[in-house]
Amino acid sequence: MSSIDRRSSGELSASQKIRSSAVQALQQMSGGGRAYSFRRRRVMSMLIVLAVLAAVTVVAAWMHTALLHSGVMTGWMLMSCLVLLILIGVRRRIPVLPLGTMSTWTQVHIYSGAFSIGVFLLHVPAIMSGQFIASGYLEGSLSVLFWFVSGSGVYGIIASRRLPWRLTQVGEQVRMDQIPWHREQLSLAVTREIHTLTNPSAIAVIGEFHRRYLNPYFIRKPSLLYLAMPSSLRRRRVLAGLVELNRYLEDEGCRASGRLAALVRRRDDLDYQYALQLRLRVWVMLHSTASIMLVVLAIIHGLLAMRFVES
Amino acid sequence: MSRSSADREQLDLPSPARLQYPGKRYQCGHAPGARKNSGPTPCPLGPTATGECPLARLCQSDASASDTKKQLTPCRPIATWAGRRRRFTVAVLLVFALALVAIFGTPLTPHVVKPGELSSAHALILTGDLTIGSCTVCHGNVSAESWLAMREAGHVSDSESHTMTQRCVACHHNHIPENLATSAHNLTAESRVAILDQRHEILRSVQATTSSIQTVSLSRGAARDWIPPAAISADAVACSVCHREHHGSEADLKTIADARCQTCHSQKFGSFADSHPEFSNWPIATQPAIAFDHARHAKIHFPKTAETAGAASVSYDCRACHAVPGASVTSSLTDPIVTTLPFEIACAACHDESLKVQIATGPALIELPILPIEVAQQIESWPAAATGSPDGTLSLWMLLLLQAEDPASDFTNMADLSRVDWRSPQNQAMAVRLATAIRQFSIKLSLDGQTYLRTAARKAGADEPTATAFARSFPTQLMRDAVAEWFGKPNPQAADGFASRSPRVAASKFDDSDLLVADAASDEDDLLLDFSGIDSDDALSNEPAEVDWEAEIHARFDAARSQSLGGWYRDDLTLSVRYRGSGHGDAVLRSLIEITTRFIDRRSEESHALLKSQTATAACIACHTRLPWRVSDTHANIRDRLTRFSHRPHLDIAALQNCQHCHTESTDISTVGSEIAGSLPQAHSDFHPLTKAACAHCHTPQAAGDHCTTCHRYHVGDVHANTTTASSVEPVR
Repeated sequence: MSSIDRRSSGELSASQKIRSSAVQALQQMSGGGRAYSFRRRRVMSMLIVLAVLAAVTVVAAWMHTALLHSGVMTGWMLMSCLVLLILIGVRRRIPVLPLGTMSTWTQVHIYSGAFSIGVFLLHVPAIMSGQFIASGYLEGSLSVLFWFVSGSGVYGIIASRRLPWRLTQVGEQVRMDQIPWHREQLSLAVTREIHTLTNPSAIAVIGEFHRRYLNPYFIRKPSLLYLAMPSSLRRRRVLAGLVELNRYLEDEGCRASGRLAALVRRRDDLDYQYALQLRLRVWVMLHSTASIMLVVLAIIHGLLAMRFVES
Repeated sequence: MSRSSADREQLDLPSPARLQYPGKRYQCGHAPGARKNSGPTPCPLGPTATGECPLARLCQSDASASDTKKQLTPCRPIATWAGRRRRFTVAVLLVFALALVAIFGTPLTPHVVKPGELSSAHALILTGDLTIGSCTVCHGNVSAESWLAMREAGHVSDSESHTMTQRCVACHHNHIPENLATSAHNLTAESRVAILDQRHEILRSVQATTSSIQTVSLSRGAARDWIPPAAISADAVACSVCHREHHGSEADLKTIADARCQTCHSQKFGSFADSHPEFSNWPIATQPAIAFDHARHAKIHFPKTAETAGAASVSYDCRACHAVPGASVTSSLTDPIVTTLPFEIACAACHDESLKVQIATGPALIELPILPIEVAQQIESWPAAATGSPDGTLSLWMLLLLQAEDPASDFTNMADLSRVDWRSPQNQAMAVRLATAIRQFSIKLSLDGQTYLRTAARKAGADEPTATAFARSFPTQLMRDAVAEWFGKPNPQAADGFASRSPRVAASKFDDSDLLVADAASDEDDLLLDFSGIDSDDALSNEPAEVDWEAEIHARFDAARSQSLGGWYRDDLTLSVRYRGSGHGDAVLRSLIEITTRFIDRRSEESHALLKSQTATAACIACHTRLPWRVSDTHANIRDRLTRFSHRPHLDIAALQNCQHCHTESTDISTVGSEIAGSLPQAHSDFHPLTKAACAHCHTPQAAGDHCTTCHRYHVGDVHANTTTASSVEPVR
């Protein structure tokens, strides 16, 4: 098709199609043309981080070529990033001061963290050749801590977005410090339900089941395996047992069995919430503790490096 | 199973109590969830910050408060999540702090703070038994007491003022001059400027002779144009700028990016093939250590020898002189391929006989010149054989040794006595001084022998080994006999302890004529009687064993026949003590040449002319145009040191095993030959210069590599011209 025919028909050429699709993809990615959405903010922030990293890379390469120690520059930059990153903990503990919203601090924390990973790669070029952990004890500990904190930070970004969504899927959200009380109430409710039974066969069947399965399930805390990887296996096993009881029960017993099943599900939801909330809290605890250790080791490393660097 | 809230049954469960302390570290032991079963009402006050129940204190202080006690029972507070988290954090940080204190407070500190393993070369030295764990060998700034146990662990020295670079040079002083250690290329600013000017001149000449395309490629904008200028001073380049340690045993400390090399250079280059300047004169036309004319040997000498000998095996082959099978590179600069094989292997087949003939007429250590009578009369016991029409030349050795003995006397004008204007009173006085000096030198040499000769040689500029080797070869007994023959027996009444030589001359001075008669009768007559009998027998018989001993004794000593293997001898005809060379590499002749070159000037025309005036030494310097006898890296010039080349890896390529693939000989043999036959050989090359294209064919980034350091060195400072005074840094034990 000639260009005149194409122009008359309004059809785009191949290069025009490619250009158009690229512009669309860029607009979709950056959220251009729309309100300043969360996605657009994220894309723009990452672009800024990448641009600054590119500039730092150029400066580091320039310094290295000019026979300067670019490691000194990237080291100070990394130290500044670490201090900025750890300041979010200070901000959280001093909410009364007008230091900006926690949301802003979180955003700064996330993108400073991403930036510091890039600077760390510039500071330790051996990583590019596959040596992720330095060989010296101090440097090795420092790199292990850095990767741990960075990894936990990346996990934190994912977890802080995935876990709240999963928690809302299990109904009413319970404060973690109240979960033991809720467990106790569920256990009492099960006991009351057993005590309300009047039919002897139901008492015998459900009572025996309560003694062997229900009571341990409601009394015990969830296992460490469940806390690490919560699953519905335990709940399904107990519920399957209750369903099996129905053929031995009359109507009253079946109704009681249904209420017990509801309590089992509630208890499992409670454990699920506990596991996820615990995961978030443990992550914060490990991340913050490791961050403090990282800053301390980084300061020691900086003192040593500045003491031994000659030019 | 889905966890959707839609499946959840509505259960009638109580709401949690509102009294909670989530932000506090402890909560009441009666709080919901803190107890197993329902019990007392939780305390509205809550536990204290330290985890104490306030009711417990209240109960202890006021036991009669029964009403309160009925409603509120003391509890055992339990930790909240915040409390547990704080405990965990504090415990972990406490362990961490203790670990740090333990590390930095014990001798483990150096092992912990060491950022990585040393390179294998340094590790071999620094982690050995002698210097185990000694950081101070390289780091002097580990100094403060705050470094806790580092001092006790032997990681702090007293010489803390030394920089790391100085500590590097303390070991590497054989390659890096101390005073120029931090200067770029270990050269002075003046040397760098001189090289820069030379480079610019070469570049201009190359650009003028090559095509315009290449000129464009040198100046066209490229990535190399973005290379920044050096941010540090060219006179403050510490070792650590380029060499970074503690990167593991496999790390190559000498690796450096091309851009870092070029940051100091005003002319930036890209790849070797595209933008490196054309070679101006490579291989370098230097003054050769051995004046070997490749072109004349290839085109004249070898064909002529082959024609004369009728042997086809006599062919010009580079490997006959240069190939060293199995040799390893022993020097950073000396290439075994370039280094020639010994004379005995490479040259003796053609040159040994002629060399022996040339060095047969050995130089004289002492030679009495023939002086005019009026001069001889002023000297005590000057031999009559050395009196007469002035003649004779001063031996080179003698001239040097006498001049060294008395620097105020310059006997150069008396070197050839036949050309001296004897009408001049100054010359006559100088001749008297010369003869007196020769006489005194001979007498002292006959008395003190080798010790005196060694001292004289040292004064003449010979180093200790040369002087010792020279003196050791000299037989003192020979000199004693010569002095007794020339100047007579020792006489205490004489001014210098020696009487006149000739008994007949002495007889006129002696009062006791009987002694003379007795001596003459007893000595000469007996000898005549004895030898006359032998002579008559020899005339009758033709047996070769019967020698005319008298004629032999009185005949001139034939060194060629009686001393064919070389050594010192006395020649009574020329009244001299001479040396006959033993062949190539004769130590005495070598010492004579070394004394000459050191005493006068190593490369001056004067020393060259002096050496050429003597047949034996002329034979030596015909090939050995300059000292040292063999090329060593210690005398390489800056350009030699800046560029390196080793034939060894190139010979792995089959095509390059033919030397003439790269080295095409110059066809102008007359020019080269005339230079060598001239007074002092000039720098020249027998081969056409190599072109860059010959190297660029293989030296690409994908093949043999084209980094700057592939062919160029950085450390080119002359350590011999700048001797170091750095003392090695000993670790603290």
